[in-house]
Amino acid sequence: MAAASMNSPWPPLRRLGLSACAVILFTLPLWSPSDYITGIATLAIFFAVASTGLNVVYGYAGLLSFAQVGFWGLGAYVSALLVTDHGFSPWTAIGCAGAVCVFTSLAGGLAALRVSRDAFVVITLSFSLLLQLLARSWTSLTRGAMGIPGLPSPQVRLGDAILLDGNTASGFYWIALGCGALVVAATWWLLRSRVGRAFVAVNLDENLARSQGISVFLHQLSAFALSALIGGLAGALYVFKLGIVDPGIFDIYYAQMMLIIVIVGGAGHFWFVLLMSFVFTALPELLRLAPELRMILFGLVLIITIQFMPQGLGGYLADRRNRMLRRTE
Amino acid sequence: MASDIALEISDWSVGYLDHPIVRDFSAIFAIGSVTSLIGGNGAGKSTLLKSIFGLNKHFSGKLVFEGKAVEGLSSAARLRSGIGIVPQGRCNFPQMSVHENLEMGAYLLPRAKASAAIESVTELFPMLRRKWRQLAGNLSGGEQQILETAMVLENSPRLLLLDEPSLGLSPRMQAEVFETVNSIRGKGVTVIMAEQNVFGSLMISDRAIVLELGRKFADGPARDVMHDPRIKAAFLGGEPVVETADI
Repeated sequence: MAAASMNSPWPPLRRLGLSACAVILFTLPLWSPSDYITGIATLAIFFAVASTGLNVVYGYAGLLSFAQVGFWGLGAYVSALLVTDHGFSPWTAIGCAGAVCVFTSLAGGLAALRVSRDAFVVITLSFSLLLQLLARSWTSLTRGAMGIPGLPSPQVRLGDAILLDGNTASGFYWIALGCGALVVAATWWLLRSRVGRAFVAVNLDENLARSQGISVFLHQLSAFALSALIGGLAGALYVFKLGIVDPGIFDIYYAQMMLIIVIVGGAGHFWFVLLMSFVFTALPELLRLAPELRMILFGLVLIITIQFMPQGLGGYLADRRNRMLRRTE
Repeated sequence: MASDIALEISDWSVGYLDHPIVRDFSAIFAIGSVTSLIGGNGAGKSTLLKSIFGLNKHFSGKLVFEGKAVEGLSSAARLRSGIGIVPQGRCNFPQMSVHENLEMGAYLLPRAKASAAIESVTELFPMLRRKWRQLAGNLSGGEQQILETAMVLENSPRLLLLDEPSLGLSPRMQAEVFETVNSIRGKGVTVIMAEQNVFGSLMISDRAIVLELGRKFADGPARDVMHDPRIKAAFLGGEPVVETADI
């Protein structure tokens, strides 16, 4: 697996690129030709956040987790149920959904992380499949395949004035962008801290990490819980864009998207994974591909990446930079 | 005198899963001494070192460091109490920068103390400051060795466990490693090392303990062990080049 590089390639260029991206993203609804484009950009933000969660546990902590789609769906169901059955506001419901996902990941992780990394993959896959089964079969709670329709859109208010209305494409986009930016910025800050570096240390060499007094189990559990929180929050907000939640929220399509984004962007390479979220959301739409053809396209991209850039785009560029540095020394 | 004792191990049985590898091991290590653990593959040298740091399963026995029982403590707590370990092989994170490696070395220290520890080792080894943002994997073998030594010294250990510190190094680098061990001992640190270069390690050791199939086979001053015909035949391949250890 590609280990996370903490040295980002070409920092000045990256800073410029980030500033340009921030301006483009913030002003997108103002110059977007249609709500359709704004909607795609909104979807890309959700994938960016959910994939960042997967990147934390897989790219940084080195644990391949299929539970990300499970937490995404769990967050969606918890927030939908709290709003429809218990009268919670969308914002409170989203917060509660995040908390439920963290609690679930801690409870599951305590057992799942005691086995080998390979067994952990199987357990996380089983977890997501089990949740999908529950969503379909526990009809008294989830309403089965019919799902839970009629979810309200979130709003951002200042007193009585509505600052952002989730009923409009641009309103929901800015809400998603604000929330996504907060989550991504907090994750970036954490990954740059000593704790984030300890995730990487545990991934690179468990024995050496132990010898530095770093608890492997605790850091793997923390990374798993953080990924669950991020995935849960993303799913919990996403469901208000759909207006309905049904077992399709656990669809393998979402898991594939997140994995492809992280693998092609480069596991452990923060910004390239974000970039790929937008590429992989926009590309099929721009090419107007049918859903089946999308999977073929994704499969081709994945094969080409694994063949020529096994560490993803971020890993490839970081590797080139390191080789250049070695030559100049 | 208890105050002269750094570490006391008694009836120590440790291993993995349900299998004890080291059995009924007892020894007392004086403060500031250097001890070589000698033995063939599978004798239990690494297992013994790891067990002192709490990295494998403890079946029975007592481990007393500076008068306090530590066998029930986690590895992190043992590190905090002054025990440090350098595992076998390269001991840095090659895909992290020098600065990040030093941060990992001082992971258990509070932020202010960690900064002071990093500052202190960079004063001791100015090369680290010059290579601050370079990836550890891009450093030369000698520079990586310095980085690893700095990572160990950040926690100011009073008992240092070294698992094959010269493994895979050139003869010149091996000599530098033994020189570093000697200088660390000069600071009053107690050192226990498992080393495949038996002659090199005995030359700088006060004492040698020979392990065979997980049990103590011989224990005595390094120069005596070096001249023991059985040890010579098993590990030194004949007469040592130098007659007396220059300690």
